[in-house]
Amino acid sequence: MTKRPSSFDRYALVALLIDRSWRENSPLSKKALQMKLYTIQELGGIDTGYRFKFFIYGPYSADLEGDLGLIEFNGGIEITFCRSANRYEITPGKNIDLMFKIGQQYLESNRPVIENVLEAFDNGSARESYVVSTIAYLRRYLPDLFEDDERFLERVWRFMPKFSKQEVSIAVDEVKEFLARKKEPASSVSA
Amino acid sequence: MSNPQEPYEIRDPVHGFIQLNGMEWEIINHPDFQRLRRIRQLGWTDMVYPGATHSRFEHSIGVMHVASRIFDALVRRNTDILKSDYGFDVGSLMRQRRLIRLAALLHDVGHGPFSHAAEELLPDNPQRSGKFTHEDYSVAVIEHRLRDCIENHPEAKINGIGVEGIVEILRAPTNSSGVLVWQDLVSGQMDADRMDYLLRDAHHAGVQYGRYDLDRLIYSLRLCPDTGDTGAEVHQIGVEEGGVHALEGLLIARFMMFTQIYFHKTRVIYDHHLVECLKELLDSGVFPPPDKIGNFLEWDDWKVFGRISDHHGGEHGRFLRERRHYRMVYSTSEKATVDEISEIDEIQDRLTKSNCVVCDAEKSWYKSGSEEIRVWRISGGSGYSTPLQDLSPVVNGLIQVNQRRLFVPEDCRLLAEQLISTMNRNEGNIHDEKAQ
Repeated sequence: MTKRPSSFDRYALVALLIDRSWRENSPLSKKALQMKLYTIQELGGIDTGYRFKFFIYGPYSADLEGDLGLIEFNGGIEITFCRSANRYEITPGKNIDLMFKIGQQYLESNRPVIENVLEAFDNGSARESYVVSTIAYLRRYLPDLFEDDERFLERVWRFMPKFSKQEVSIAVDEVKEFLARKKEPASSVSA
Repeated sequence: MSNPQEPYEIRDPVHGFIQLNGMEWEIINHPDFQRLRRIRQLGWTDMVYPGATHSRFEHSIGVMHVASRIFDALVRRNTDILKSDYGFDVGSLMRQRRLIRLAALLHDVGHGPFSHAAEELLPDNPQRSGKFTHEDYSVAVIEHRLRDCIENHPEAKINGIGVEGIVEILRAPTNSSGVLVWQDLVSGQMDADRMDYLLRDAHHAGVQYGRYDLDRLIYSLRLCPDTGDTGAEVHQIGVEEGGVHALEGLLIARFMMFTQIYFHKTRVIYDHHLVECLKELLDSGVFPPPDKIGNFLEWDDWKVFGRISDHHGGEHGRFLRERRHYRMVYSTSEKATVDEISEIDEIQDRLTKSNCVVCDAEKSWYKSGSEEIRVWRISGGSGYSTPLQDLSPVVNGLIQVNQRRLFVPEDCRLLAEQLISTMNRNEGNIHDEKAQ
């Protein structure tokens, strides 16, 4: 079994995502970060070091929530509650470069896959991230159903009836296209 | 014909009388559930807190009780949401209540000896990166050992209760958002498990740290809407504003129990000795996988105590037998900085010849930081939900503990302390030179 990412590796990965979104002028919320890391783990096949559970509001890792406090404590990020949007926004902190430095090796070896996932799914809104992460979750637990387009779509929609079927269908297609490009076996990392 | 003995009752030290129906009573009497009497809730914690010898048996019954109280509170307050948004009706809610009670009762039935301490020795899960978890074993016990007991019970047939319904709550719901909404209740940020173990562990350890106002908290629970940034409204378990201080009490209790009990310096090193001892006792150094659940269940605290008592388990078995545990020689602060973590890594490198061991709070099964729990507020006649941290500076300050501690064998203690002291002096000199 390969070595799991250290706390420094995890800090660096979080810093990378925060920095990237901030540079693109769309700072991540806590929930969006959870969804993005889950998608990178599930669809990219990268061990992020986090164990996720899936709740009604999407994937959630208590360890990631804990790390956010510690990265902020070390000056790697800043977390601000944005009252008007009713969400936490995360931006780079004064020591973000230190976070990159301590997990440099991990970032270097995984960067191509991370970039692939982000490019494939980063253009969409948090809403799309939510749909994509739900698809990734159901694909993990229902790999056979995933192969049956119609039934899988129906199942995903049962999970998120407030989304239109068309919205869900587009996201399922995107995930399938991404995986076809990647040609990776379905079960390589933990949920 | 109903049994005149129903409802059955068990007197619990934390919650008082707990009532059970016939099927729950039968499950509790099953040998695999009775095995939980021989699995201590807190491993070797009694080496520090002598009263902490309670078992997973009483905790499991307590979680079932708390889970149904939470369920009842949510249904009482939010029947409309459960009907309109998640498709429940009176009948399906009653069935769901039974399933949640059973899932809560059985959530720990797959624990290995001494609970979480032994989890490090569960084998790798070939389907995922990482090891099997005790939840995987609980599911295996329910599916392969308790199926008859559950599905052949008359109450199961009347109420449409099946093993799959229980397992789905414990594992990962894949059917609909209707089940997903209850995930929070069994294993979420404010779940029945946590609500029970804090009170129970505090009670048995004889400390006050774990106490909080359970009644007020449960009374304040409700489903809180959250559209977040997705624009689609979903609900998670939160509290009404009047329950904020009770919730703060729970989170502070969790933090205090972590620092004072779960990550107590002597307690954690006993976990290490147990793991090393079990490596000697187990074939190939790991527990049997979930598909050999019968073999796994043969392992309980009694068996391990017996083997240690018979002088098995190598030198760590001896350390446990003779209470000659490793001693702590160095520790970071509770919130360790990047520099402190790098420093302890360096000390560890220098002390390799002393068989030193690092215990890391991050690797603990227990968590100490705050999490995003929503609070329902009424303002200007309309309601909205907001994160607890936004309302509570107390909770906002609760950062996950990531302390690391370094231990060495008793006979290496002096040498290790001298080395660390020399390193600190040299580092001080370097700092002084830099300052000049």
